[in-house]
Amino acid sequence: MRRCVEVAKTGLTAILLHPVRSGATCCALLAILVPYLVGMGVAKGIEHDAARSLEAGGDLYVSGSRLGQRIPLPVEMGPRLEVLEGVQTAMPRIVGRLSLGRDKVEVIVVGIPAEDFPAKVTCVEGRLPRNGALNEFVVGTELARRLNLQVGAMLPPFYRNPRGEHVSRIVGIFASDVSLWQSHLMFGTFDTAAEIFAAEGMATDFVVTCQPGYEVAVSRAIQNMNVEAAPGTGGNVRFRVTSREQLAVLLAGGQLHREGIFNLHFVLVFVIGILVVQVTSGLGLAERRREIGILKATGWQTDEILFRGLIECILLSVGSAALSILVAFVWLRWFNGYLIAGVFISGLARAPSIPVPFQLTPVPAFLAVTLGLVITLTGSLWSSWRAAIVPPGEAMR
Amino acid sequence: MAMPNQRLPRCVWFGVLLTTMAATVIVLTPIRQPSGDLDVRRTEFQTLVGGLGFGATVDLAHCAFSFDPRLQSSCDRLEGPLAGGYFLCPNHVGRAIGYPALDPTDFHISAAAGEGDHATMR
Amino acid sequence: MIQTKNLYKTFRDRKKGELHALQDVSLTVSAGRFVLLTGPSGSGKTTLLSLLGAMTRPTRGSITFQGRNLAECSDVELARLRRDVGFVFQNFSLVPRLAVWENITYPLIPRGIPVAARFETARRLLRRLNLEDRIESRPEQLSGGEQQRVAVARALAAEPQLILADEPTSNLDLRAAGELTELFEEIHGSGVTMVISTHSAAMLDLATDVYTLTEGKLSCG
Ligand SMILES: Nc1ncnc2c1ncn2[C@@H]1O[C@H](COP(=O)(O)OP(=O)(O)OP(=O)(O)O)[C@@H](O)[C@H]1O
Ligand SMILES: [Mg+2]
Repeated sequence: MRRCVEVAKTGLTAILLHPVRSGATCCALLAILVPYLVGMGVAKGIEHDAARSLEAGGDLYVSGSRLGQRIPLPVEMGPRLEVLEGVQTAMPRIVGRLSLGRDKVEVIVVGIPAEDFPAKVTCVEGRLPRNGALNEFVVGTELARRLNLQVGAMLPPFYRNPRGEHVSRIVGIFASDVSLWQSHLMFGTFDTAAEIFAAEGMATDFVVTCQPGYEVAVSRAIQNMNVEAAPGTGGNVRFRVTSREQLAVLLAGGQLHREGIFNLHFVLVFVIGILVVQVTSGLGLAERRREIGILKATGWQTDEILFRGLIECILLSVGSAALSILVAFVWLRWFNGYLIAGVFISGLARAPSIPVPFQLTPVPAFLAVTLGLVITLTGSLWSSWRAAIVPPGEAMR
Repeated sequence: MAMPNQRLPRCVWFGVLLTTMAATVIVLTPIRQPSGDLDVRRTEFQTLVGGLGFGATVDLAHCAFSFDPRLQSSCDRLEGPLAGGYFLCPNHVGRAIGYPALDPTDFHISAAAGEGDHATMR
Repeated sequence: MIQTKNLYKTFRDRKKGELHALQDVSLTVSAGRFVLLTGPSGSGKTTLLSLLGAMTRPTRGSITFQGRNLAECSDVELARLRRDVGFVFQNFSLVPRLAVWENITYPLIPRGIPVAARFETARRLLRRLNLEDRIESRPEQLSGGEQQRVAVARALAAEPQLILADEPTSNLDLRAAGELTELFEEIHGSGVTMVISTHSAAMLDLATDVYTLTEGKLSCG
């Protein structure tokens, strides 16, 4: 036991014996692990936000489909949906896309019937658009920043329809911390949104809420609704229903980060990891060989030498992984993911105007340590072993 | 008994120990529940817009699917597999979150409905 | 204690072809002896010593250490054997970045001796070798002679039963060499077997046996 402790302690000395090698390994591990941890942390943060988006949203989302493509539905569908058994409300909604200004700033236009607005909200600085007053908007923080908008600002006409051009007024700006997805939003009444897209009487989708337990039945009923039930669409329309359950499954399985980030890093880690292996096993190799030869010559056993190397690797990888966690945390918390958040969240500015959602959790941290260990071990244990099995006289030469 | 000067190894050892402890604290601290106010505001926002946003995208520039699969049930440009992943949609490279398309065949002609006119969810 | 029979060591070199560093060396060193190896440069002294200390393997022939054939020993057994041998390398072979006291006491680590005791051991040895003030220095900060004495101290640290020293006084002035000779005499007096290769005549008086190597061949006297 004492023997193990004393040998283990020399593992620490071994790190200091080769500061360049240890430093290079540590830096390489940071380069691999920090993006990994940031990505995983951001994914977890988004997951929390997504859960809230599902919770506060509707039970079913109904849209039209023709020739397999999504199409809008006439607003008259609303009352027809509401009469189905188990349906509480069916709110038409417009979600559209346009770009503004010389810089072509991306905008997501969202229109909701003014009757469905709450009386008072705290998530907006300013107020909500008034019923009947056309062209009043609440905008997202990134939009406000890019277009330099304040509450009360006027927006020059950015769309034309047969009734001419319109100046729009910014009546509110979303609070930056309410959501990741508010940043490019331009929120107005349903009528305003319809006007912008010259699509009066059409809704992108219907947000349906059901009585508890009726979701499946309602969804089936909607899909079985007669095509003639959708007048004004030119016929041949099917209904597409997306249920909250469908998306909730994705969240519950934690499937969310398994694809994008994980695969990206799969490749990244492999490429950089292999480089690390080459660098670490090459740096000071002759010196290490000699040193191992000296250890053997003075009575060290091969297993003791390897144990010393193992401790060295563990310390290096645990230290580097822990440092990576700290760096990732500081980068996300105090620098709000400057530069790096944009890698993992599409459309985000270099310096995000929203607090980047993130949470560092034990599983990625544990994986980071394991990954670091595997990489450092492949880098050094093999060469240590090679040096340790030959007679010391040869290793020392 | 005299002891050797071991300042450097001690410093490194404590450095590693401290970093590891700090990292453990960070990782094990449960996500801070947003303060009551913030929590209300966030729910309020989602209620206001009728539930919007799901993936790691903040605009609809390339891929509405990665913004919210409720707006579009799959990404047209996702074509895999490249080295273990779906990498061809420029909007998905590097995204923190990926998810499978909602079942693309969720609309098929229902035999039960006859005539082949109606679609049902599988 | 240690016995070699018809020992050959041949180095193969691509340019020069085969080089017979040792040829048919049979040597018996009994416990408690003080053996001197002399011979001109390149005659094979270092080669013989490293074979005796199980640092390399012979090309042919056998070495028996405390009744055991080295060729039949496992890696662990060889390591155990090396612990009973103190080896002073001709080129010192100190670990450059380790402090002097750490270099000296590295052989003690696998025995589980705690750091304070190791430090004390190093201090005691260095005091004996007039180097106590360099205990925290690094080898590169020492002169050749000082490094040589550190190498000697390391060989003595584990209190071995056999000391193999390869020209341990080559870098020392007369006084230091004299002191080291005294130290060896004292250690030998306590029953330790010594095999020392040297060019200097200073140790001739102490030696119980003197062998001469010429071009890899061993002769008595
Ligand atoms: N690793 C090696 N590869 C090839 N030849 C070697 C090797 N080691 C030693 N030799 C050769 O073996 C012969 C004996 O070398 P050795 O080092 O044993 O001599 P030595 O008696 O110790 O000399 P010196 O007094 O100079 O230290 C020399 O001719 C040397 O060139
Ligand atoms: Mg020699």
